[in-house]
Amino acid sequence: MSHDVLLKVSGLCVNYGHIEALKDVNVEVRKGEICSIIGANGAGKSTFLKAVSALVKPLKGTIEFEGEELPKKPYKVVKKGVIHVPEGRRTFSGLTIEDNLLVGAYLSDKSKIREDLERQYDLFPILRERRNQFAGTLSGGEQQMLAVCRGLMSHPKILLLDEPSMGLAPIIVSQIYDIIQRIRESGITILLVEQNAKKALSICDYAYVLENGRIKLEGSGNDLLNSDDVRKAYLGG
Amino acid sequence: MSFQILINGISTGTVYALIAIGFALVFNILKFSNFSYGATMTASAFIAYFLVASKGWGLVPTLICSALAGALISLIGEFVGFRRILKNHSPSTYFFVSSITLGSLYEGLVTLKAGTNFYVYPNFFETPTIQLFQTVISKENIIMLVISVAALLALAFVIQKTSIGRAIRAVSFDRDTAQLMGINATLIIQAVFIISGIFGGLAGCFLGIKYTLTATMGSLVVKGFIASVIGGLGSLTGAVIGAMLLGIMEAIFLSTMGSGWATIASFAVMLVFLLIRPQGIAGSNVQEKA
Ligand SMILES: Nc1ncnc2c1ncn2[C@@H]1O[C@H](COP(=O)(O)OP(=O)(O)OP(=O)(O)O)[C@@H](O)[C@H]1O
Ligand SMILES: [Mg+2]
Repeated sequence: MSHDVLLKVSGLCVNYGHIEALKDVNVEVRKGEICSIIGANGAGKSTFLKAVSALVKPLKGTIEFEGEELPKKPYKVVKKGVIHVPEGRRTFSGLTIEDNLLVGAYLSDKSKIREDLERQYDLFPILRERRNQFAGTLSGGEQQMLAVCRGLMSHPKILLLDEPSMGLAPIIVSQIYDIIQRIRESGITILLVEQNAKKALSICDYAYVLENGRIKLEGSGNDLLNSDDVRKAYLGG
Repeated sequence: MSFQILINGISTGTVYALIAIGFALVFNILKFSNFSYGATMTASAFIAYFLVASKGWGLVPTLICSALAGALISLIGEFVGFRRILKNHSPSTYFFVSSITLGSLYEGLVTLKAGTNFYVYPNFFETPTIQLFQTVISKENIIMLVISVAALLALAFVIQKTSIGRAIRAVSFDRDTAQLMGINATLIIQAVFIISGIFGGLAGCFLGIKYTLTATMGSLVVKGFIASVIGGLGSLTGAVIGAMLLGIMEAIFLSTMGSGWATIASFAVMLVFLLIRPQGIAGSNVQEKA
């Protein structure tokens, strides 16, 4: 095993009853990179992330992180530094913005919490202004930012982002993507799952194309952007 | 309305609040009504009667025993009755059947030991009343009031200000996402069952002191259901307000029209209330919390 591989998923199969959502999926994410998985609706992208964060149980396959198999319980996976920001933001709507962030810091060192909060507020000042309001009052884009910040509160080694651009205006998407790059520059590895293939491919180092539960193609972001197959299927010709 | 009636009403209200809160906490986190809660109250009150009160150990040890018994029964109930159902994402009918069955089981066990007799806690005070502002007030009522209020304030603090309280709220809103924050949801659910059991145990003991101990006294849990519906199902603050209203209203009816009519009148008021404001007092919060 190459020793800068942070996350290594081998032979992953996940079924929901009789539906085979993932079939023999192999993915490697190297330390410090942005890796993305692109695919259409129902391709199995979310299922892949859920398998990594132990929200779903794989039928077969191994998931190694820093050379060790990841635990089988979601909260134990978090302890290893793997943070999954789920699809559709899933902020706790009836908790205040600050409480959402504090829940994100559930396992962190409590003496540094103030600093950690301030760091998130600096990243997105709107969250500071509205920290005592319910998260449910934020717009979709602001909730996405909150979801990302909530994930950062626990000082992850890798951030798994499930469609952070979903349902957002292009300008907001660009903001989110800027932030994703800044997060990577701060030393956090990123696994990004997207339907928005163009955006994801343009910022990632390496990418996989998932189709009907199988990895169909893989390569550097640039190669895939220029590949005919990808252009036809995902970039509109 | 005399001061005495008001005190009685408030003290009954705080006991109803304990019932309502213990019920609402579990409802919020599992989204189901725990129908074994009434029998948990009964069983705890009886355990405290046989183990402590009947030996003449006084009020506080009796209360502690009842609260601990409630916590234990509740914890066992979670493990035996609900853990697997939750894990398998079974339909909520299973929770219904499971909790009713557990409740009948507890009630059956109590009947086995106590039969259909009435039991009465011993008098915990030599002089049962005190004189306050020219009115006679029972010490038991005051104790109930003080302890219930203390329990409610402690809970409010835990829920609002502590890490475990935030985790309880997070799991109540979205269990999967809470787990993605590193929260062990099973542990948090256990904690909620323990708190709920403590509240149930205290309430059971208080009901036994106020009225008598019978194997079917758990049916008074209905007052807690009503209070949490008036308050807005799922809202803890609402449940407390609803319980206070119910307690005070009952005390007024009791002093003006006697016990038979009082019960009927308070149910009638509830029905009218639900017709006018079905979402309960806390209103708009409900959807978010439920
Ligand atoms: N809880 C579930 N029960 C049954 N089938 C499911 C469940 N979750 C997902 N599936 C199925 O598994 C397949 C993969 O779903 P998944 O959510 O992983 O796709 P996705 O790539 O994330 O899609 P999208 O872009 O729409 O989010 C789909 O066929 C879906 O219907
Ligand atoms: Mg998805």
